[in-house]
Amino acid sequence: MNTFLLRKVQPLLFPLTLFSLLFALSSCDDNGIVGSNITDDPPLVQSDTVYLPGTESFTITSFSGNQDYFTAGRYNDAVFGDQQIIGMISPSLQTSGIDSVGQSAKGYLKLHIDQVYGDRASTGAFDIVEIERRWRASAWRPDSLPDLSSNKIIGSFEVDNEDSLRIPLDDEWLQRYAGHFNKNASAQRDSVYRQSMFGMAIVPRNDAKILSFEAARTELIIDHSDDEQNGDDEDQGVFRQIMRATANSIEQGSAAAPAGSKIITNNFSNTLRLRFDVDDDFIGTNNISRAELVLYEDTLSMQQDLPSSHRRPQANALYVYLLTEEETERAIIKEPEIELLRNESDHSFRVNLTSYINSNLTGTMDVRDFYLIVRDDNGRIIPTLIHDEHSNTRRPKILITSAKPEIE
Amino acid sequence: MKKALFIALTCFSLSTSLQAQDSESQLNTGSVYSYLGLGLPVDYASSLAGSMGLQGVALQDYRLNNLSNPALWSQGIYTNVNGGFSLRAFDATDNLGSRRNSLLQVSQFQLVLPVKRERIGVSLSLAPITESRFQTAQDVVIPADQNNSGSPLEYRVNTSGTGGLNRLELGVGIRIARGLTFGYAPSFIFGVLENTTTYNFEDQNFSNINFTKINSNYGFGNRFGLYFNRYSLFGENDQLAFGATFNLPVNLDSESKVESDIGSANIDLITAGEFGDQDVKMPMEAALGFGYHFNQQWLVSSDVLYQNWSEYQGRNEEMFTDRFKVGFGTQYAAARRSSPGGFFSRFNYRAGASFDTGSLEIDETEIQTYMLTAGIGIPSRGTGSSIDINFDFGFRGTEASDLIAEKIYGIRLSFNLSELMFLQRRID
Repeated sequence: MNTFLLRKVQPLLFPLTLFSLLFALSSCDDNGIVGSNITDDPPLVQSDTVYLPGTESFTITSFSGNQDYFTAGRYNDAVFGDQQIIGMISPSLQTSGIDSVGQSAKGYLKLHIDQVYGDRASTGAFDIVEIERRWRASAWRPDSLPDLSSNKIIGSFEVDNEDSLRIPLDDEWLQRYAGHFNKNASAQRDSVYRQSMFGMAIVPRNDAKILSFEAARTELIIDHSDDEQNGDDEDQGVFRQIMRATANSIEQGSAAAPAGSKIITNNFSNTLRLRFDVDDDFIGTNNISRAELVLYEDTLSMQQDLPSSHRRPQANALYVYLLTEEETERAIIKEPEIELLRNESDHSFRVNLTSYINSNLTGTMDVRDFYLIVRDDNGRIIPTLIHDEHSNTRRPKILITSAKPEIE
Repeated sequence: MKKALFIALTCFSLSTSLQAQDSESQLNTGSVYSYLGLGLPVDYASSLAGSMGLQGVALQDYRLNNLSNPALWSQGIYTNVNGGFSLRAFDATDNLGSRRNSLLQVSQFQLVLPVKRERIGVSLSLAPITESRFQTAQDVVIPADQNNSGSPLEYRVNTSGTGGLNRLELGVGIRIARGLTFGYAPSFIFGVLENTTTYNFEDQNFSNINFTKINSNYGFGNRFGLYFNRYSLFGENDQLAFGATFNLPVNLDSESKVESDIGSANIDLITAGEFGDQDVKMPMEAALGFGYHFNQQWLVSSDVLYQNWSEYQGRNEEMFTDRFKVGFGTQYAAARRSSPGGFFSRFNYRAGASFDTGSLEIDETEIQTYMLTAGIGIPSRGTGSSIDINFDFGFRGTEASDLIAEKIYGIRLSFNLSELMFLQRRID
């Protein structure tokens, strides 16, 4: 066979070399467009609008503890109703550079205000009330109420336009706290503290405004600069404790959304559920270049009854959670799958849904309902109104850009 | 026989791998006219005929296979296997611009076995009979008020096609009288044509989309051939030959569907059921030719091909018309000289020209083709095998009536293995 191959290969050399040379020299010029006059015109790209058949307000179980913010206040919003929120905090009991807190020490609560919702021109008045019963932040439902039965007020403050507050706390409360702090040698110090002191609630005294505070910057400040026993150990005579737990307790009065709109908030108590079948019967095609989900904010209704000095936080984006019916029965701990960004020019929220729809059309993703909340569930209060399917001009819709082949 | 099988398998595997590579590469585009119908007809039947610009219905050579006329297969002495590759470039111009396409392809494969030497021969072949390889494009702008983007939507639509019909044929040639042979070849005709339309958007917010129309066809064909030759008619070593072939029309069962590639998945946009049954009719074909060997070295030949494309039924049928192709060519077989010569006497030289009215008539304009061909045969010393190189140059179409003018350059490499088989060699 080798001799046979050798005999065959020899005469091949010249033609193969020539062929290879021509092969290498030949090239394709893709720049020119030739031949479109004889080919059939391809189908034009089509732009269609598919209106979503139904929207539904839906409540999903959620927890309000240990978020980035906690909120307190009361405000009667002409659109969203009367809302009272009690902020709950519990200072930690961390060791510090000092050995103990003396009798003459003073306690303060330091709050940094992040967001104001309500009447900026009015003064907000708040009490700080000691909580009487143990609560667990990680399992605290926003519609639960803290036990404030003995109404033990340990501090009060008023807010006009301040960014931060330093609120004196009751000495008796501080001494009880100091009692736990000073038990340095006890291994059960922290657990005993948790079983006997349950933190404090920030309770509104009027309905002027709702304030959201930064949880990470909230501190219990203990000023022991007059204490002799600590001498010069502390530079400023002050040490701080961060909060080990925060939560919101929300009482939402009845609120009727205007006809053609639905309320969404940034927690799961007011979600908007969208249900639609992702198939070519509904979408109109399954060859999609772009599918854009568009929802419109009912800006007109929201601005109509809002006095000039009143401010309402703006929803800058909406989150979509893709959930099964079963998943809505549990608290949502996953990240949202889709984010609709605000388009300021037409007060719409938009997102590219092409990938989601294609995944459904090709069967690589299970069909799930859309549950929308305002971005994001972080302890602040941000409500908005979204036009629903009964809106005359701004119904929720999907803008479809596609090319549909035809039967020749 | 082992050697023949070796060459056959090599050609087959090479053709398979090349076709697979071809479909993905840039070397995938031929004439834009192949968009129409089932693609452009492929006439190539043998390296001898191809280099002389002929169909080859009257060209008989013991060493070279010829697919054009089933009657020729009875003339065999040697078992012949052939295969090869071609590379063609198309410089296409129309009123919108110009473009160069290149097309690398595998030629036919044919095995001819002389069941009874010079009396009965059998041929097994796989050959393309139409080819569709094209690319074209259109730029489109949809005004802002007619699309969802809020601004003019710009995109380019690329349309490309691949595929064609192939013929798997088992035929026989039989000598029915001295100098007169007859051949018959039933065949299975099959093929897939894929036309892909891709939308490429300027705006990155829009995903490129595509759809592909897949048209599958199959049917059964029948070819008949006659060949007559007479030796020493006007001289001592001359030979005059006539050949004729007739192909019955072929009814193809055709099925189409449209699907789209979405990521890694395919989805049907239009199912075969929605398209419904489609009947395609390939036309009747006839060819007639003669060849005259002045002696062992000099050969002249001419033939004419007629295809009844006006009766074609199928896609774009309104653009088809009857086709005539006339060719004339000559061969000087220097390698067959009995006296020894120099380097150039080791080869066979061929040349020819053809005129083809084409099967297309668009806006009352025939898409005609003029071709000049030349070739060189490189016989292997000591065996009957050879390697043939053919060169083509020609023009197709016109720029008039918004049509396309093409300059065609081509080179074809053919491998011909010729061996005595099933015979015990004896040394006296």
